[in-house]
Amino acid sequence: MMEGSQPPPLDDISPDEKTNSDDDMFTSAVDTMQKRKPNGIAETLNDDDDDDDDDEEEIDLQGSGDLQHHPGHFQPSPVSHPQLKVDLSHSPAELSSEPAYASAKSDFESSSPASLKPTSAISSGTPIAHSVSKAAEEADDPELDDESSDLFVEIKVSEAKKIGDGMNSYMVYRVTTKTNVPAFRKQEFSVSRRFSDFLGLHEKLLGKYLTYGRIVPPPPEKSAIGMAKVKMTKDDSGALDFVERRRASLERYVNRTARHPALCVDPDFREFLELQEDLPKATSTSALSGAGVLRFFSRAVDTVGKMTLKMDETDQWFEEKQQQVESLQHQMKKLHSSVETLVTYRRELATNIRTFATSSAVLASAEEHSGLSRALSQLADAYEKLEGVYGQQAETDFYVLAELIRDYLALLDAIKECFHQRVKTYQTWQYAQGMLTKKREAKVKLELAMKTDKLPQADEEIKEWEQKVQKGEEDFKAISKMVRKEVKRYERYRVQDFKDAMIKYLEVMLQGQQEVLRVWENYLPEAKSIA
Amino acid sequence: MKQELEAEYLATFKKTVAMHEVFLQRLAGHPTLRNDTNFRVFLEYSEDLNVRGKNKKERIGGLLKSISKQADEVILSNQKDVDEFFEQQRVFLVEYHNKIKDSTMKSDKMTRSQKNCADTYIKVSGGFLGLSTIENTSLQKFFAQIAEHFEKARKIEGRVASDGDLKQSDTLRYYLHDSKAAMDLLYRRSRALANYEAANKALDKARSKNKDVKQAEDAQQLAMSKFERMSDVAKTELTDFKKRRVAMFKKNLTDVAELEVKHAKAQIQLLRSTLATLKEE
Repeated sequence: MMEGSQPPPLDDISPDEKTNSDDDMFTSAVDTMQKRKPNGIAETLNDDDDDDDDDEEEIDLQGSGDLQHHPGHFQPSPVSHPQLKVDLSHSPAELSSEPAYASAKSDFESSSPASLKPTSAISSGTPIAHSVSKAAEEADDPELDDESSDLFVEIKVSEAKKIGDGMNSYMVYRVTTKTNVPAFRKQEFSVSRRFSDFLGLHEKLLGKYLTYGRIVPPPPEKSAIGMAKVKMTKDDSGALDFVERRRASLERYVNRTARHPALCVDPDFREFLELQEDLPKATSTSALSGAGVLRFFSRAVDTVGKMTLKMDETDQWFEEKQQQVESLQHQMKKLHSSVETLVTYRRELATNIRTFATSSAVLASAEEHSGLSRALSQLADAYEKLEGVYGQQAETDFYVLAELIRDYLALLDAIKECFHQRVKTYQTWQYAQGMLTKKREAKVKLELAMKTDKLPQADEEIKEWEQKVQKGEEDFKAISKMVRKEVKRYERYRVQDFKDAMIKYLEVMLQGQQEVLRVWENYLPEAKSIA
Repeated sequence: MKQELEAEYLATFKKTVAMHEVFLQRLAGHPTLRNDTNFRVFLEYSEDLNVRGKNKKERIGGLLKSISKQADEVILSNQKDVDEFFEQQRVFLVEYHNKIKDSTMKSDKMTRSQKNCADTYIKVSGGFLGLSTIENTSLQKFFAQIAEHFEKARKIEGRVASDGDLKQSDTLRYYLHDSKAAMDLLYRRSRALANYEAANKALDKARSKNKDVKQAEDAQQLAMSKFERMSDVAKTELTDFKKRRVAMFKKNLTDVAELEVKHAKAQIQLLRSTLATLKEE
């Protein structure tokens, strides 16, 4: 899809079209971009596969200088759809993968050289993004059509190894990535990461994207008990269950983040996957650090705030969604607890089958009648096989079903965070509005009191607050739009994930039952042949 | 809900009935016991039998008797039997009894776990149904079907549990009790043997003292005849015990296997049909 694409000639984009109301935030960025080298930009666009480092470098420096002035506007993502997997029919959109890098490239201080390539796209990104957005809001919907593309990212977390000894020990995981997304330097690579690295990544992504209303997938939880088990045992086999569970949830976390078109090409994320050296220790994620304590307090304040913050919801959609999320969470919790009970009971069943099998074998040895004795020992064998089946069943119950539900429960919390962010943005806007009214009133009062010397200052303040009001309104609109989009995307994935999981679960059960059938069918003639 | 309760009641009923049937058939199959008047009355009397439950006195009496019996058993267990057959039988029975006790317990635990699993299916099904009611996407129908599947699967799993219980656990339990009964028989025999030997000793003593010889002789004769008769019957009973055990185990193990096959097939059928419906969504 990307190979044969021809970017539209930049001359088509006339200054008037830029004043499309949807893309106010790009106006300034686009303006400055246009002042640069349009030709250079077109060149880079044309050779998107064989990049010239010099060209990019240059544009990078210029671009970086510019976009940094517009932190609030840097986020062309709502419209530029960093869609690695998008298959849009109209050609401008085919370049939408380029703007992907644009949206991601927020910290220019990022060390990875790979950023050069995407950086170049920034300059090309915004004007193209503009034309894309122009092509009706339908740019929104095709973005959701992620599946029909050849681009993929597949990440595996494996080889949990214990480093160090005693209290200072920790587990290290191998993170292997296979991808054909051009943003990455290679197609296959692997690095070593520890748990706090994952948490650090999440913190960084949250910091960057939450305020824009993006849903950032949550990482697996910390577990003091699990880690204590890991630290206390001498060898690797100590806390196998815990380690396996953590490994699986880390893998799911990373893949879920990679699935998100904007997050996937984020430089921090890419660095996380690519950088061969150990990442700087994310001390802010540890519970007892200064940052940890700070986070605890801010979260407490936030929780109180959540309860008191009320917003006059004008948008029906948000009202409905909020209710849906609440009831979904409630139901999922119930389902989760019953699935966990099922897992426990099935594990118990497997254990009991095994004890019975041994007991039956013992009985067989005590039995004096040889035919019956043989039949009983074969019964013991049959039950041993069954134990294997049920044990595996329990594992499937757990990993396919219970963990999925737990992941989605955490994700629902993340969504609630997004909603909350939106409410906060609204609050800021309203506050600015309030302040503006106050300042206006103050000015009127000054006029009445004939204190003309204070008037210019009052005017200044009014202007300032007017700007803030405008910005607040824009931010609010932007975040509302983003949240809507993200929630739609999440919904689609949710439906898909659950369907896939349930079908897989039933298939495993089917296999299990077929195995059970085989075991018993084999046993039947044995039982019949007791002399 | 009502259906589940009915099913459970039915399962328990089947179990009790089966136990009674085995008991009665055993009596009827026994050459001597089948002619017992009590048994006849039990089978033929068309009115209600008024069986008085044990009153307190009888219960305490029974308790004391069992305690003294246990003590006696311990004493007698050291008695070495001259007869090879009986000695062998005793060793076998003691060992067998202990092992089968273990097996019965474990089999019970296993069927109970199975039942727990089956019952949890109801909760899971309820959970999915709850989710489906609040869904407004294609997941709604999906979840509703999953809920239904778990309902049906639960029935089958429940049956697996109760059938396993019925056939396997109960067989083991029956032989647990039966082996206990056989051990009791042996105990009675050794009691008789001990009495015989005591009578012999008394006779010798009486003969040496030349006092009450006739009495002692009679007692000895009585004990001996009792012992010998007992030994003969015991021999037949024990061989019969073995035969019956083998036959019953064979029948029940075959039944267990057949039922499990049937249930596994039903599960497979259910899973296949659910998968087919889900995949075509």
